Amino acid sequence: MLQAINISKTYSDNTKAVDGISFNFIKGNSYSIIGPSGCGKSTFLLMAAGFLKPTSGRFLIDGNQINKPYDKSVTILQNFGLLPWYTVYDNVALGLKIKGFKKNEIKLKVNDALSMMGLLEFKDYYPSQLSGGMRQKVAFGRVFALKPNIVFLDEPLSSLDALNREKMQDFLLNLWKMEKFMMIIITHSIEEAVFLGKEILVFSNRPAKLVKVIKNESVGDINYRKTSEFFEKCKSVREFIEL
Amino acid sequence: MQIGARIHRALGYVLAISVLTVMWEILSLVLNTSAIPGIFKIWSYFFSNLPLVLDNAKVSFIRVICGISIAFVSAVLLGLASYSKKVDAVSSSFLYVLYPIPHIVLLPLFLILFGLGETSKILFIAFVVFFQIWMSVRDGAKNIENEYTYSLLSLGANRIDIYRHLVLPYVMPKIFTGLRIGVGSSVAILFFVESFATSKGLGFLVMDAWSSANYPALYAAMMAFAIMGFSMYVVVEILERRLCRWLYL
Ligand SMILES: Nc1ncnc2c1ncn2[C@@H]1O[C@H](COP(=O)(O)OP(=O)(O)OP(=O)(O)O)[C@@H](O)[C@H]1O
Ligand SMILES: [Mg+2]
Repeated sequence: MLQAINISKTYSDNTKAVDGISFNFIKGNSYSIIGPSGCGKSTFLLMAAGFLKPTSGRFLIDGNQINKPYDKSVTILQNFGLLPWYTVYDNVALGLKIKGFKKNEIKLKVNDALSMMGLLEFKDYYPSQLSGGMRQKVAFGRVFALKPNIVFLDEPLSSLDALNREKMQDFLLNLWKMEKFMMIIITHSIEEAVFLGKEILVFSNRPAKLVKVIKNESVGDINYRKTSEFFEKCKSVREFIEL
Repeated sequence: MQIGARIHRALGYVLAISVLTVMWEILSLVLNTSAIPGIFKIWSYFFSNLPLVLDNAKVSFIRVICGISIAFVSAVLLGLASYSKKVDAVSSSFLYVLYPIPHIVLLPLFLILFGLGETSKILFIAFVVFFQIWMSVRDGAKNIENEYTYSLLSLGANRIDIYRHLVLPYVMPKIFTGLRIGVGSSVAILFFVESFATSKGLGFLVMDAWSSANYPALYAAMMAFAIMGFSMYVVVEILERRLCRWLYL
């Protein structure tokens, strides 16, 4: 379990970005975070992932306070997931390499991850040679190879066009169902939030406060988008977002 | 396609050299003075005195390579350290004070400190080139986006991993930018330090031929200079294509 206890963050230039957020994230569950532009979503995520220190409050993982990135977590940021100087193979292998796995073990795991993602034939490509969607797949491939307990995602799909975006949402949903990690995903899109988050956290304008938590139990069904329940959920989320 | 592009470049070089040769030839014909001999005279001097030219080129080359190597290692290490904001705060104030000085006027200081021998020549070349590489590498290292660091930290990276997988590759193109500028100026500085107090090197050859009005020798020595500068430039280019492969797809 990941607990946020009364988290606030004020940057050194006195910008107050997050204001007193408390929430318990449960193992294996998925959460969408949605809120107005610039409200403090990324700030919250970077703190939860252990990159930034809260000004007050604390994060606990299984009761222990976080001071650095939790070693069973992976974070994917929109444009910085892949290192441009490494091939697809090396990007996916990087985490395993850093964690000290043996060469042949890495090879096995990476090839496994790549073939599962349908990326095996692109393994010698550089990120700049891939489409936006494929690039994100590779970043997810890293998740698959590392088998983390928690995955933090900051708008991972926002650079994709609508069609590819839905495809990648399906892909991410399947990955989550298969790997059973806890997923916390920031998004600007209400549909995406409803499609991927078993619980949807709505943040207020800056400084971000937790306005509303919307339960969304039907997540996991790949056809959810086509149901009327989905539309109803989107509508109710929209009501809580300040514009 | 790769090979096609390479042939293209090679043809470009050949074309540029031919045009320059023709222009020289025209200049020589128009001015009709022994001070601007035709290209054939220069070449024939160059080849008939090849051992002499090569002998001096070797001395020059060693000086310049030693100078660049010293500058390269120290400037790259110092520049990479600017990835740390704290280190950068200190080192950049030195850079700002020292960079704008016309380094070349400090030559007498080097002669006073290190004498008239090889040491002062090599260190002076190193000194000038050092700033050019340092500036470029530091620029790259301090601009690395935090998000990249986060991505690596999230994979469990320690400081060494971050330097190896992020900082070094990130600044690699900048290292080559600095090196390319450095190679160009090192050859110019070389001429400067070889134009006095030595009896070896291409710079000496130029000065010696000039003062005795031996014009074919003068231009042959200049040509040797040019060839040396050009070859070093080409080597840097090839290395860059090797080590920054992701930029040349
Ligand atoms: N390092 C920083 N120093 C100072 N202020 C910052 C810093 N990072 C973010 N901010 C400010 O904090 C506020 C919240 O930023 P944050 O990036 O968390 O918002 P966000 O909800 O993720 O925005 P977006 O929807 O644009 O991604 C913004 O006003 C931003 O300008
Ligand atoms: Mg953000």
